[in-house]
Amino acid sequence: MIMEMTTSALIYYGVASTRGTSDAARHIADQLQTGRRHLQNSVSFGFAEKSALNELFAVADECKASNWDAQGAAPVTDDTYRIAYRLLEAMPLGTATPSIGAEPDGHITLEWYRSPRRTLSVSVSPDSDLHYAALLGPRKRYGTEPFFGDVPKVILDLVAEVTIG
Amino acid sequence: MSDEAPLVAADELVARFVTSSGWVRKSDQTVKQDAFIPYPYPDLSVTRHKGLSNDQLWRVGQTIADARPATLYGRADVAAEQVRRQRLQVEARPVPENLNHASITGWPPDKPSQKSFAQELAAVANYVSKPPPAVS
Repeated sequence: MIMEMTTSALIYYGVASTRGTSDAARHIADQLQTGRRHLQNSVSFGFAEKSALNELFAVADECKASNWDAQGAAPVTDDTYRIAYRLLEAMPLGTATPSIGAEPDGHITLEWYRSPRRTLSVSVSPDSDLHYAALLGPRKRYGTEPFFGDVPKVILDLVAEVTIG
Repeated sequence: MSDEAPLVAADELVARFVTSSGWVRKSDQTVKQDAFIPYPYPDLSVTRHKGLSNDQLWRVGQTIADARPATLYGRADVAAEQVRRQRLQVEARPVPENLNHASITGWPPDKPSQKSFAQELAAVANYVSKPPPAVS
């Protein structure tokens, strides 16, 4: 029963980035992280997320030098890679897996795609800003959210709208 | 727009060369918005098809890729008319190494808006994979 509750909490909320500073808060955060890692290693929950992390590594490696696109691109820095990694880890388990790319300004992108006019792209900047843009049929949404460890709700809602809605 | 930068005709195609594998969706071989983000200049470099054979067009892309060197995966073709629908412009800006060079201009300065414009261009772009080398 305890495991069931933990699992469902992890699936729903993702990795909790605690703002608490007490020993208890840190202990809970550690337990959640440990539970999450177990789930990542499971076939049913973890396979897709692991493949996204592998894709992230491949893209960061391909784009780590200046001018990686032969058209003047900025490098993807270690900071940007680490922030993108944390963002992927913070996604609630069960979220559709994004494909990973990089933009010429050195930002890493996470893309959720159903069709050319139903897509969401989130750029991860080295400053921990998440720039997002979505095409939702005839509608558009775009903006910027800071990333402090939790996936902003507006982005989770857009992921759901693109992949499910 | 300056006098030296004439507009490209509405029915002309321009190509954005794809030099990153992550710019193409493996699922359906369409191009992502990532390929259309303008950097490092405020404008986006493209190449006009005008007057070039298919082979000549690929040669221009290969020359760009070889300069780094990088891999040329393909190109994303967009009609100038489609660019203008986004209230962007396409200006002819020939350079010595590419007389068909052009720039997509008029981008907003902020990143989220640029992404939104780039998504619109990607949605109407036609991705063409680079053909394999001919067997001699």
